[in-house]
Amino acid sequence: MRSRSETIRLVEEQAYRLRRRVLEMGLEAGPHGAHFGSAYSMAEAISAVFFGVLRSDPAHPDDPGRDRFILSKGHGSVAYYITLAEAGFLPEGLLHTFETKDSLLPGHPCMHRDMGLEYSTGSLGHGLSLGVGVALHAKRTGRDYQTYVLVGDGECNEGSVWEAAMAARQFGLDNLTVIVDRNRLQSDGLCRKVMDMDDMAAKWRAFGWEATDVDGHDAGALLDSLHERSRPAGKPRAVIAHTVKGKGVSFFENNNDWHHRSITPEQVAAAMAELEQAHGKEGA
Amino acid sequence: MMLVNTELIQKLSSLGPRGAFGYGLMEAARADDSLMVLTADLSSTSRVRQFEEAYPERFANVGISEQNMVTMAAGIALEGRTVFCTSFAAFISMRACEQVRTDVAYMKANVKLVGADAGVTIGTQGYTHYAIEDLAIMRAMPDMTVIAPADGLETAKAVQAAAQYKGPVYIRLTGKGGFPPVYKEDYDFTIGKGVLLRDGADAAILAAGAVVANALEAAELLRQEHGLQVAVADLHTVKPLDGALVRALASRVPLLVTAEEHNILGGLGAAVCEEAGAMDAGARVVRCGVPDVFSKVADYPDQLERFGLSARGLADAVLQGLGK
Repeated sequence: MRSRSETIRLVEEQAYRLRRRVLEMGLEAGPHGAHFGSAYSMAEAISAVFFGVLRSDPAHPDDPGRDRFILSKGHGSVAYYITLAEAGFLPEGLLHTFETKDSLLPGHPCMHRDMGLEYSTGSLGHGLSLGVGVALHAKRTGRDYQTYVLVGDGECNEGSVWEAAMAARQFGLDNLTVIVDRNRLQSDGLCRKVMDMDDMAAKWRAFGWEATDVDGHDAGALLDSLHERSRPAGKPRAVIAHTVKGKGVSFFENNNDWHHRSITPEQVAAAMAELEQAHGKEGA
Repeated sequence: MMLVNTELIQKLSSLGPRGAFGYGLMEAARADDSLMVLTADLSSTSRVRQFEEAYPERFANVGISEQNMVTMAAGIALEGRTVFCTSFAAFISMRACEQVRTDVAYMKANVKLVGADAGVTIGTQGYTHYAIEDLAIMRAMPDMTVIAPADGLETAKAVQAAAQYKGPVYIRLTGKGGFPPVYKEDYDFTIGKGVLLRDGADAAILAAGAVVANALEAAELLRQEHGLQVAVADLHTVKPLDGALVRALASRVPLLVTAEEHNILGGLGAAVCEEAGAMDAGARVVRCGVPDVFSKVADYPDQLERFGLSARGLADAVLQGLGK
């Protein structure tokens, strides 16, 4: 059992590795490019789930008692694939096939359960309903696994998200957690200008959920919010992870040009240098 | 195992398509402990109340949210369960269309979608609640099986066959309570295998759904009034279509008339054309159904009449097709 501070350090280290590897994979993807901004905003959140809270074993990816993770914002696939590889679910070599012909790793995840790819996702607004189904199954069959769903804030424009939110409360799914990657940008620009979601936590609370605002780049805060077991019985939980799109590389940050694009070797070198410098400071 | 006798056939006929579905569902539920049912505020209407009362732990009413229902069903089915979803055909096929495609078909989830009041069954309630597009929509999805039962017995059998089959299935229900039994005794229902109800050398009517009864009646009218021998086939599985049966008929009669409560684009008629069109030579195909219009509303029998789907209408289509 790791101590809290050890787990925080592990999550931070994984998020750092993830950001580096996104650059490498993005470069390798050539003109296909990758979703850089989104992968970076969710780096701590997905690392906190996989290296901090998720009870699962790559040797038994079909264990019915495993905790479930659903990447509803499937365009974050590059971060997901790398994390699954780091956690031992997905063969490392496969990462080199990202977005290539006949690849098992397309731009949006395709279900392949023996590699931990639990569902085919990326059509926005679906993942939470999958989570509600899976969590309801646990309730009805007396299983104690937890279900974590990572959604985007722009994704919450989709009406189906709120259909699922109502159902989760109705069925008393206190075994379900949604993490909202609140990076405040969507495809066409600022969420506030495209479709203002205003106070995200208030919206989830209005739907009967327990909701917490956290700094989505603070591993400790994320872990605390995900570990919190004191929520009232019967309430599903929303963790609003306030993030910066492209977090960690100055020219990615809050720049929607880096939502999805290809990257040059020079840009990778510049980004790596920034990541290393920041990591060195943290480590010191 | 469902014991089929005259009494049951009469009962399923009087229950109508929804009631026959509910009956078949209870049979399927007894055979499969994993079977779960979701409905979108249509427990009574879609006749799953009995299931709800018998198996409350295997039932969930998700309220009026078909999209959420279909994706939830996929999530549950991917845990190794059989999940039935019920709603009106219009909403399960169109409101939740992309959920059906991405979460059920693409992930090959073991979900059975049951669409009540497909076609023009709902009569004067209007086109918001008609489904004249569902066959085309569902048929276009890879890995989706599409079934349109002809009567009460076939509905109950189709539901049980769908429950046993591993993979996505769409069942569309047409007809009304008291609809005539097409099958007067037990028979073998196999997904993907049509039933030749009546043979004949002059023409063939290929039908799916409650209009199969009208096709049989049309063949009888044509025999009595014109001495014609017209074959009738129940193509209950619209996908995968029984291509062997269609090709066999197309090679021995000059005319195939298709009958469906659906737009003539994309449904059974289109499927038959695709099959017959791939042959070197074969019968002409005439499609009876909704001619790609949103018509005025009418009671169910009047609407069938309007679209040439009554027995008389189908008989006329055969005569016209044969140039008589």
